[in-house]
Amino acid sequence: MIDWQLLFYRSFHYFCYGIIFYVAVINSIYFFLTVLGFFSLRKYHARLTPEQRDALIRSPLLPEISVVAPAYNEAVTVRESVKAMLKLSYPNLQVIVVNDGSKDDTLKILIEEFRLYRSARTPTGPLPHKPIRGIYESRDPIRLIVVDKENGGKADSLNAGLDVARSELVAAVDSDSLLEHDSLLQCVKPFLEDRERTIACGGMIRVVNGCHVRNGRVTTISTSRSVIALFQSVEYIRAFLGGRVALSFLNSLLIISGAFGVFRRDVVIASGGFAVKTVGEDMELVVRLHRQYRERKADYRIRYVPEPVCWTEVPETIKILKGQRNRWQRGTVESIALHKRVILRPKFGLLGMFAVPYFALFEMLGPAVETLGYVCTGLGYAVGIISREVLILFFCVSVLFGIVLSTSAVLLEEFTARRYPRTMDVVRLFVVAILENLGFKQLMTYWRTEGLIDGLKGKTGWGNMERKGFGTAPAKLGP
Amino acid sequence: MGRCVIYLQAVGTALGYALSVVLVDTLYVSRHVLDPGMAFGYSFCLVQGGIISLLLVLSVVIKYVRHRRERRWEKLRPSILEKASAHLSGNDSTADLLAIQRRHPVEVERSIVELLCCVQGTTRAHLSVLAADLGLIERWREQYRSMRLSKRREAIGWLGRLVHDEAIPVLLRALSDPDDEIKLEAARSLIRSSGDREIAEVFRTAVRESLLIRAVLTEALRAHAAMLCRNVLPGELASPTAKHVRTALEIVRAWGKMLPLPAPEPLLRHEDAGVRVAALAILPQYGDAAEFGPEIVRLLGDADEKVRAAAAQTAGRLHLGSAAEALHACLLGDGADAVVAAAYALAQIGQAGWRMLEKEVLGPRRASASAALEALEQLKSERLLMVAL
Repeated sequence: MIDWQLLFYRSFHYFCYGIIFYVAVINSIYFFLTVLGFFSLRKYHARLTPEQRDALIRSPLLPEISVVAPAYNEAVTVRESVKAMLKLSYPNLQVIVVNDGSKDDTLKILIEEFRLYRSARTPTGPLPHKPIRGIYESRDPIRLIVVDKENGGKADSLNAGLDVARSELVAAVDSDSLLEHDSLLQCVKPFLEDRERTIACGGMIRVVNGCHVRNGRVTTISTSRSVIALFQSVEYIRAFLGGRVALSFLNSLLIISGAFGVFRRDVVIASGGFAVKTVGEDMELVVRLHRQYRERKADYRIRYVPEPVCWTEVPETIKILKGQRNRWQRGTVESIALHKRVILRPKFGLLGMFAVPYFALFEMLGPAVETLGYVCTGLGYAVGIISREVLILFFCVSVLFGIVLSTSAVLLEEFTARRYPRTMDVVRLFVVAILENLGFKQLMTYWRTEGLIDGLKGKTGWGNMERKGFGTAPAKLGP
Repeated sequence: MGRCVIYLQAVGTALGYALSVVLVDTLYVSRHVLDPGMAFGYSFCLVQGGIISLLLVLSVVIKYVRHRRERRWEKLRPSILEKASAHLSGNDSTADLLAIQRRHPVEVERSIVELLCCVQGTTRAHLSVLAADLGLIERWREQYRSMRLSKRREAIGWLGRLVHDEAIPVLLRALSDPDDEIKLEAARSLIRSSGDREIAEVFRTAVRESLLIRAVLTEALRAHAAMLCRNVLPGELASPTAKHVRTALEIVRAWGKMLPLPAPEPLLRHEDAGVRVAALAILPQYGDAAEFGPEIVRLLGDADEKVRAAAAQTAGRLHLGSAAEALHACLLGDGADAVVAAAYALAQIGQAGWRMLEKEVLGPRRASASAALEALEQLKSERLLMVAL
């Protein structure tokens, strides 16, 4: 006779042990990556000195770069963004804005503001994309090209931009983001250091909410008054200063943010361009590049530099944030699913044995396991399997570990970049680094779990992002 | 080596962290909590709490120490600078400065460095002697031997500001340092304050190093371009390594001015396509560039697309009318880059080229027609721009 109650208790017991083991492994990896990121950041990521920057700006030796910015219904921010792109400090620069069939006045604003003329230029690249309706160019020495095409999504627009560009390097940026004036120089640095092997490089993304923006430049850096934006500020600092630096050190970086990444154009074209049928085209491309180079046993580097700063507006409403996280999680699911063949295949080296399995197990499935952990612990407490002490301990362990990671990221920010000049802003970041673990992170975990389910179901679509516009974004600052 | 150190540091920190949890568990918590799992969990929480407190305290302490150091320096700075200035104007203050240095070595060093950045010529030379008398040069030379990168960078930065024979051997040695920042700092210091021999060495470093170093040093070496082209460039162009030849030519191209350059023919016939491309790019820097017309026409039919594109660009820059037919053939040939370059070159060479482009706009080859139309349109828009200006 089977004792069902005993069986349930035993199963639950082992299940809880499994979750604890999972949490221990994921936290150990996070911790190791943060520490590795800290040490490699200290050694390898020296900023260009002002003298070097001046010399490079004058140098004709720098490779030509095209900044490709897809724009869909960006009438509110496109003027400021393009102005900022045209002011970037780089000697050999071309800006390509791809109007992805916008329904608002994006194209009209661009034509009028920058006095564009309709050009006879034709795309020379082989990548497939939706039909181009027209190409417009400016007559200024720094060339602005606007590609007007039928709506096909971000990846499709990037492919059109790659086809129109003729430069050695291409920077894929979001048209609703602001690049710092020397961000291209800083991001091109790895290509200059190791021209033969470097094929792609990502830059750091920071939260613009709360900062003053004038003429397409961030003039005063400050934290946002919106709690949701503030939580995301800490989240961005943690993600970009910790894990990515370490993964770049291991040459296993799987994500170069779609908001700002520089690629060798010939390499992206040879690999087939950005994948159109995924919402995580940035991650998918990077994983594909890794895979193709490792299959060929070619020596290459995909780098991340924490200095080149791209400022982006993050959602300040729950609804939009939820949609964004859902999309990111679906992107991860799609990228992992497309490249599942590399998992645990030794011929792909660290990519197959660590980076992709890590993403599959912890970044993709992690939220579901974490949610399950919370549910089971609550359930176990409710039915009396778990004591109150264990419940509190489980909560403390998970929250305290999150606080350690967040506070150490803020501390790392304070020791390295020191972007926030006011002590009050740093204090706020520290406080938020603690508070985000008491609800916000759990909410994120839940949304990501939903995203995972949607991704597994094959749900597509981008959702909406309402923009305030940079001109109206500044927070009230102290004297 | 550097990567291994980082791995070891990371593994060491992670092990230290795990060990601290185990130690807290063994030495304290397990004695008070009977359940081993719970005890371990509590130990973990205690260590986490300790680390969070440590991080917060550390950030405050570091800010405080920095602040104190700044204040001390601000207090001592006027008297040190006064003594140093008096010394530079003829009153020997070495003894006074040595006395201050015994008590405040960091502040004296910092003040001398600050002064070194502000003065030039003979004053800097006098100050360099003072730095030697204070034992700073020896200290910085010693500091350059440090394993810590930041220390080495600092030492080279300061040695580079001196006008002193003792600094030069260290700076020359730093040209082969594994760190790019150190190489650049040493090279720029040598260019500022050394003779032709050292500058030649910097040029050789620029040729062999990464594009980053090459780009920065090319600008710094610009003032010495003529000397380098006469004395050093021929040796580099005779190098058996094609990459070095290519990079030497790229530097010359970046200088972008008429220079006493060696004959380009062997380079235009070099087996490496990259060298041929680089050699084509420097042809406009020869006084009598038009005489290389036949070579350019020959290279317009090169098997390598990049060479054809470079030849077309050079023909355009030189307004080489004699290359019109070869450019037309290139326009009708393969390779998108070469086709576009040929179209632009035809637009640049004058009416003969324009007629060819106008004919090709209506031609059957789509790539050539598009490139021809684009080039004609650019020509038109540039003219319009000139009229507008």
